Amino acid sequence: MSNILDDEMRMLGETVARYIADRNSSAPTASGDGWQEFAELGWLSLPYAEEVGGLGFGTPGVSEVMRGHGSGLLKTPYLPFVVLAGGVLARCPNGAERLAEAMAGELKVAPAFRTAGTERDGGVPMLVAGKEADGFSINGGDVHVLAVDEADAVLVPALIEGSSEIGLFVVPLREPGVTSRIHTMVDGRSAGYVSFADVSLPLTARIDGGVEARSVLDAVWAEALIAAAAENLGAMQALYDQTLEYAKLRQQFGRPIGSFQSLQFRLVDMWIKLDEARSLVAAAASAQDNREITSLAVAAWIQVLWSGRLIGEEAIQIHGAIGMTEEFAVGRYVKRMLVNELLFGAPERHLARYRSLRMN
Amino acid sequence: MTLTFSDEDKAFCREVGDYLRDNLPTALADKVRFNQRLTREDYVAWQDVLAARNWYAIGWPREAGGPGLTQTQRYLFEREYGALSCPHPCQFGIAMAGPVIFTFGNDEQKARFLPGIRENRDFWCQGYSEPSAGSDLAALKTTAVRDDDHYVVSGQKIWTTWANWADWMFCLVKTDLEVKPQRGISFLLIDMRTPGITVRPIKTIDGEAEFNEVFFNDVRVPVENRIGEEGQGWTYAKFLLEFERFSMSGSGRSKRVLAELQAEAQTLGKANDAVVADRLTRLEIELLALEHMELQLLARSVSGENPGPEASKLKIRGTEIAQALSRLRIDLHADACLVYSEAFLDAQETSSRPEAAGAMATYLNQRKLTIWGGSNEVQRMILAKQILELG
Repeated sequence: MSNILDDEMRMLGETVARYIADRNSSAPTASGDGWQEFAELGWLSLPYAEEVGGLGFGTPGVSEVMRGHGSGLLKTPYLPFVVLAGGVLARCPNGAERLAEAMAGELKVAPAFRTAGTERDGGVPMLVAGKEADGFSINGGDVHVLAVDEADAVLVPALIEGSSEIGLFVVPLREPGVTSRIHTMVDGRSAGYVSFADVSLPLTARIDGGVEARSVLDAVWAEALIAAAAENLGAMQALYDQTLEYAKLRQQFGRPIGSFQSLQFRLVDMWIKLDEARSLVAAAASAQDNREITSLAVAAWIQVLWSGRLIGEEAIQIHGAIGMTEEFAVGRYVKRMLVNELLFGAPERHLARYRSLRMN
Repeated sequence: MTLTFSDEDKAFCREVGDYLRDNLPTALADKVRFNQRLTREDYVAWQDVLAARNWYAIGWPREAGGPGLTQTQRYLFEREYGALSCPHPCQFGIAMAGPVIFTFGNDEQKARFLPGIRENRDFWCQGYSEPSAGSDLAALKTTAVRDDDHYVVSGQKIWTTWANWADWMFCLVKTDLEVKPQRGISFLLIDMRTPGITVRPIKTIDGEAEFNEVFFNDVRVPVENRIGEEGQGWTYAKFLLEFERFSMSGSGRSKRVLAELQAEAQTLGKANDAVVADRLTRLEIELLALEHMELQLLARSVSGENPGPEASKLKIRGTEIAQALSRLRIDLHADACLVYSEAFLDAQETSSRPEAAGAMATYLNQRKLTIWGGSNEVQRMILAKQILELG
């Protein structure tokens, strides 16, 4: 739990809002745009505890930045690099040096875990690390890594050969044997399938000394889920605001379409769904106890997706044909939420997970 | 904004929980738990228990003789209360007539009526709806014509919950037929024993008869029973609507019902049935969202903000969830719900499957939730106009 004051959190929210407002006039941001600016604003060190050199804003702070990513449709890989990869570095004693570089914006580490296409069922790694005399040899392939085209290295879990142990490795992408096929996703963000063929690494590439890799990944995953939920929340808020405004302006049959009761009721339901999502994300972001964080993170994520589906589909419908155009922002928000849903899992899949979290 | 509960708040929770548990008779708790019908005596006896601690008029300020709880304590009381199988107390006196009287009544009216409400001596009903004025209250037709120091009331009310049990009714009547409908309405307190009043129960789809028709045939009501100004009744009715909405999420009760359903699914061996389990989990998350919406509204309210009509969202979601829970109980017990026994519902007979035996009637009864207290459509209209500012 962060001991950041309400005032500091509010100021962060205002800084994010200003950052988004300043960029709104320009063209959609290129992937990775503004990374140095993020470092200067302190956002790259924002989530981590002060003991590891961070600013201690924790998940509530991350949520502010991620809401901005959603409302401003930023493509900056904050969630993958800072929340996922950085979250692991901050929890591993041997990750300190790389975390320091990452916070300075000098090292970009992409995560290859806990998002779609990174692990087999049950969290089993897709990669194997063979032990060698002075290090490891990594093999395996087609791991789906977000924003890998912008990264210097990738953080991968790998099964230690001949055991059920999982090791966490930071693999520089320039190492011989690492290949990637880059593609863009429907929302314009980039990712790639990365393969590893006899990639030789020194002992220092393994960072999980002294900690249990699975529990580190699980804890980071819960934070990432809240971050993704906050990003979708930003998108949903923008969709709701724009749709409400449009309903008040757009004239048909001689009056604003927002004067028709069928649309009024649907807009009210969008407003309620937004509030349900916002309330659960806020609860998850400020939860204290570890188990509570995870179950609230899953609940918030499920609610955010339920709410987001309704808000996104209604936003397009209420806008009518203009809502389907490439040029209009409505579709871009919907696509962002759609991609996040695929990356972090649909609500139907999360229900059973929520149940088991609550029962344990 | 997050709400934190102080040590005093936590102590208050324990005090409430302990008192209710110690004083809730098992037989009464079972009736509530198994959705059996409660008699007037059941309500009165339980409300006496609450009144003994001055927790019947729970929302009242100290000046009105109430417990003067903080908003947070008020919320926590509901939470503790909902967790147990306590009867839902009659609201018409404590949450409606009382607040209008202590807000708009004169000193004499306060002295005359408030103690009887607070101490559970008088049973109240609400005379709002009429055959052609349901959601559109301004269309009401019951008239009150001034005759010296009396009003002569003529007309008909309908859907009047517990008029058959009531000692008093607070009633909206038309005192001026000339002006705009909202400005010709007055707020009267009517003694149900006055000559000229006929009460006729209406049997509903669940076999219950809590609704009534009330006919007024030249009923003489003293002018001193009018609250506030003549023609201002609409203002008082609107004030109440907001008062009512805040306490209508029923999240405490729904949480209890959900926990019961989870336990019943376990007993029936259906806890791992994917269809049942998913529906239970869905409702659990919907309920969690409602609870946090409520907590955040409370936090804003405690910090001095007046959320006003926003509380309508709690009524909408709370009632939708309560209805979904009542439906799920039927699906869970399936064919066991086909045994429909009036004798069981009246607690004259036991059942080997009591959870199932009351499920059908409850599902039917709970349809009222989205209709009364300002139908959910009316709530959406209020939100559209006042929060979304849609013309």
